[in-house]
Amino acid sequence: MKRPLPLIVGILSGLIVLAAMFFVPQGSGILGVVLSWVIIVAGVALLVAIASLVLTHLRFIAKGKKGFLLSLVLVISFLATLALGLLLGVDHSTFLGFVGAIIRPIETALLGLVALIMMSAAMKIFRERGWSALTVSFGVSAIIFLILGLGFLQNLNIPALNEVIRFVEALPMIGARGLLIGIGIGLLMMAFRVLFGMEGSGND
Amino acid sequence: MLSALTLNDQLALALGVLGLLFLLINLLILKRNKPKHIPEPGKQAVEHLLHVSSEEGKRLVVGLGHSLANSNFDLAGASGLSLQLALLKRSLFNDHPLQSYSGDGVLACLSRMVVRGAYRGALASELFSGSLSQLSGTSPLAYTSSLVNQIPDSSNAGLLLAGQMSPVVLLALDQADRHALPSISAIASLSGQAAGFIGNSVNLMGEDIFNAAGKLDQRKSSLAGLGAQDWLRIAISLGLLLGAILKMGGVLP
Repeated sequence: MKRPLPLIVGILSGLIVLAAMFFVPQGSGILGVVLSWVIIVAGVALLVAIASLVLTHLRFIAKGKKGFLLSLVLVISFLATLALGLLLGVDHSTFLGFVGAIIRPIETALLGLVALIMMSAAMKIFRERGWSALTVSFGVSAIIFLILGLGFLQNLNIPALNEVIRFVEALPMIGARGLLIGIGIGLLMMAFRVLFGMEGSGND
Repeated sequence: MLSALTLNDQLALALGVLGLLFLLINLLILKRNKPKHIPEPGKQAVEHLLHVSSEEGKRLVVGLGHSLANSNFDLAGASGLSLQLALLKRSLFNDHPLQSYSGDGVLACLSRMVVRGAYRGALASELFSGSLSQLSGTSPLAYTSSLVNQIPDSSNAGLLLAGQMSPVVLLALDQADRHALPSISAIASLSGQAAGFIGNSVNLMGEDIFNAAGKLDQRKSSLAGLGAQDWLRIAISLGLLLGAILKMGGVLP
């Protein structure tokens, strides 16, 4: 059984914020206040989630669960970062250097890996999915857009060809709009279900 | 006051009102316990994952994404929660219940509420464990690398990515592929949907990413939403057609 008071408060708040978004000069004050609340709640939620994560890993270490060494690494690095951040302050150059020296190389390596995997995935798509309408159209469009990307055809300056190129270049945008309309419709229905309390959290 | 709205705002408002109207009508006309059966690859793929999970006594890993309230509020980031609930209800008493990972503090808390609510709803609160829904990184790359590390576990039955994610998540899909783990991607962003084509994963696109949960849990509100979605799609198609005719006729600028 849904509790009526939180539901009513939720629905009213949602409707007020929605109305404030449409009537900007009149509702901007409300939006500002709500935005501040959202920032505070999101910050607290992140703290709660981090605390829960650390507790979970401490429990793994205490129980000696499989892979608990990784949990140990997580807890030690979390505590070291927290201690350094509290001692020096989060804007201190030493702290930023310390964190950046760890994060930046890892992120760069991961992005490099993404580029490699994308390349191998483009090759693998024919082997894994076979020759279907999807894979053939993927291959053909990839080649066409690679050629268009070179700019050679555009430099020929043939008006009829330029028209064709403009039409072809607009095709991905048309497809994307179709997908975006679909996502928008799905999102609208989900928003209504959330707004009117139909999307429950399990039992309430 | 409405005259101050731009044409786009007025169109959005009209579509919103129309959507709400369609949802209400569908709620009224939909017969309880008699949902129409629509075969759908997304639903079938998710059901297959669940079947494998319960048959082999392995767990299903759900990635809920990393973007709900991180940089700017994006409701699409919560699209995985309803799918998580629908799946959780069917795997509550499995040897290994569903395990979810979020890359956003708010999403992690909401996900935990969903897990707790599902157990409480099944009168099995004592089985609830906070570790079933974890935060794993607060940036797209940190989230993805954490997810990538979870996949090789031999107790995993499959990977489901549902929510708002960057295309970097293809690392996780590739990892699943390398470990012969069946995967489904229901990512809300266009670039994420493009990344979902990697390997053998079942890729849901467009509104399908919101449909799978509704078709799985068969709740009246979800099914009414799906019906309203179809009606709205027809209305938008007619509107676009009418707009094109009016533009060709010179009525619209």
